Amino acid sequence: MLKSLIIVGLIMGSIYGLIGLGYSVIYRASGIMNLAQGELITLSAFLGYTFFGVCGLPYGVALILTVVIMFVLGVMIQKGLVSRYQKRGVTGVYMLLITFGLSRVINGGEALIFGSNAKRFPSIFNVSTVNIMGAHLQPERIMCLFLALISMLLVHLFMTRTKTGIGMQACAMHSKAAEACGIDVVKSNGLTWGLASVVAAMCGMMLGPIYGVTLMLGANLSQMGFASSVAGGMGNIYGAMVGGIIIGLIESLVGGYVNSTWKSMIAYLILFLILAVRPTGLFNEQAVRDV
Amino acid sequence: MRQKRMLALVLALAMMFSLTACSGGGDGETTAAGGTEAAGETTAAAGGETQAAAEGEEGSAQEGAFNIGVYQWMSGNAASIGEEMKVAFEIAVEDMGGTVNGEEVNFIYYDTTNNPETAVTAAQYLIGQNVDAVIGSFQSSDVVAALPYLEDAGIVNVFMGTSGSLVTDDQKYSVRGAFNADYSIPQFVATMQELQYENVAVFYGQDEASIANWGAMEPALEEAGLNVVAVETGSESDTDYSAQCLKIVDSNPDVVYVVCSGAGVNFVKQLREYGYNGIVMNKDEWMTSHVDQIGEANSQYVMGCVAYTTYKSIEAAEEAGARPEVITFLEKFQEKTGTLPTVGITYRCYDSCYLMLEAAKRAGTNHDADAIIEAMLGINDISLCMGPVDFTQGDREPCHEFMRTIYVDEGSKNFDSWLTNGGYDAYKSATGREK
Repeated sequence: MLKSLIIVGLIMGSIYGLIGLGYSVIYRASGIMNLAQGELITLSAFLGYTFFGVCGLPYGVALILTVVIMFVLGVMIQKGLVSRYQKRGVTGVYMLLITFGLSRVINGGEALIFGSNAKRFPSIFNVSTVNIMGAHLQPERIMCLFLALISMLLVHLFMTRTKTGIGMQACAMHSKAAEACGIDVVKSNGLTWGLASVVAAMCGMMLGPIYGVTLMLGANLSQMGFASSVAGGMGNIYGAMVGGIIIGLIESLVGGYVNSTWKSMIAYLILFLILAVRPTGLFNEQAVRDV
Repeated sequence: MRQKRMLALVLALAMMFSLTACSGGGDGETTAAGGTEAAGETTAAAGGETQAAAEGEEGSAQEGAFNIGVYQWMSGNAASIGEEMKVAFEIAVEDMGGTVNGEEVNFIYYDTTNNPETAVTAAQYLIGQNVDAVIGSFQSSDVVAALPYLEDAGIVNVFMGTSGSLVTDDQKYSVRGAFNADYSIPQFVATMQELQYENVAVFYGQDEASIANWGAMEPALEEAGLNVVAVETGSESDTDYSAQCLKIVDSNPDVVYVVCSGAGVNFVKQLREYGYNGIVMNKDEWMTSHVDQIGEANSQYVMGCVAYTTYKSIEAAEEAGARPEVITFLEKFQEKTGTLPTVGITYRCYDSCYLMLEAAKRAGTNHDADAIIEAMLGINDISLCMGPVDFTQGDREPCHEFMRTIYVDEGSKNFDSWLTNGGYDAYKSATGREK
């Protein structure tokens, strides 16, 4: 059972890590803690379900459509809401509250448009389970692991190897200085939210087939995703993934060998321990801006 | 200052939008009974006439009406339950002739938002509205929280939670309008013995009803000499039950007993994915909404000992041997909505409402709690969706008959017929299991 628990822990960890990546991207590039990230995941799952499950489009097409829509939505949120408040000097806890309010609006909109019943996201693959080292696993879970790792790598390369990505980080460090260097701060901030929404879209499209689509999907899983990004070092791309995998493994092993009631509690206790030893997370990421 | 005011405005609008959306689900503006709906609290005037609640008076008791307060989770994931509940209430009122003791029935709704603390607020709000009676939540945790306040206020209340621990000797004004889930335990255990099972794995939820049910099931399994090879637990917010599933599969059980109000469905899906293909005994009815959520294949061989279950069509209900009262209710429900109930809670709502109205009718008053509860506890001659109602057995419970069902071949079937017709052999052949 140990092998199975480790595999499951790695997969869960990658899911948490990918969710945490969404938090980290926005925090790293704009210093904002986006509490609506979970709802963006839920919305993506609903969109994916509509394209794939209702309209019958191929999964790849549904994924692309969802990613594009979520990217546009992310940019719109930044331009239509976040930037307006930023221009008025709203920061810190007030911005936190705005993203929290946004999460409630999105959740309400989802209930209005898609209804409250849980939706069954059809399986992507023809086989229901695959056997990996004795562990029966849904192929979608395996896909999750790989897509999460690929997403993390792509985001990292984008943020560190492209002009746009480096510009986004520069904007977060000092927007006026970045502007003076010729960086389009407005465009850069929009791209940041678009990118985080794309990450949410990837999460939603992967989680839907595994857990079904409910109004609580993103909210439930994003708690651990948020914890992952904090454990790894808020804003650190790899940190989110490592934090996620640590939490996933702890949950899985505690659930398997100790008691499933305690798995979340112990995971959080270990998170406290990590933060006590390294207050800025495992990767010692300095806060971009104190929120 | 201006900035904070703007922020407050935006957040207030956000919350309002969110709550309004959640409380109504799809078309939440008009209630099934013809009333209008506001954020969190709604009123509905049942009895046929469509009424628009006046501005500022929504959720208020009305003069000269039988005012029944309703506290229940009816937003977010439960918005559709709230909608089906209102249709069930409307049918119950119509079945009573539209009025009770010459008064229209006025429902005052309060959404508990899946939060027992809100259930307390709901109880206090309804008490403040001077309601004549209350129909309570289908969530046992809500009932546990609200019931003491309603008892202290001397308000008759019919609750819909199924936890065995909800009925206590010190209650005067509270009765259940549904079944006591603990009463099905002997039938579950007898079925395990009948199928010669030896090893049982258990998954129970962290909600009040599930904990109480497992507390009653555990000694029953022990007494029957059955081995409990794995006991796992989880809550709805966990979402992922991989570790629990792996442990249960690893214990190689003959059967898995699931008692989990919210998370059970998702757990069963994951249990199947981790390789368990045997019979799952589920405390609650396996609803149409469950099948919609996790699919036909994952729903195969889920067995229950229940008072009622949902069906995909009236023909399927008839074929499965559903009670005549259930068939009649389904016909009326379909006539009103064009669909059938997706959750068994809708039957509970109908039965609870009918019981409340019937008790008031027998008492000859809508406003005397002592008379209504006395009349209620004397009811033993009617039959509802739950089957024959008999409050006179000394346990303050109305339901004492359960039927065994199993979900197989795209529908809930009568378990006894399934066994008789060789279903169990077909199951063993299809799954490759010895038991």
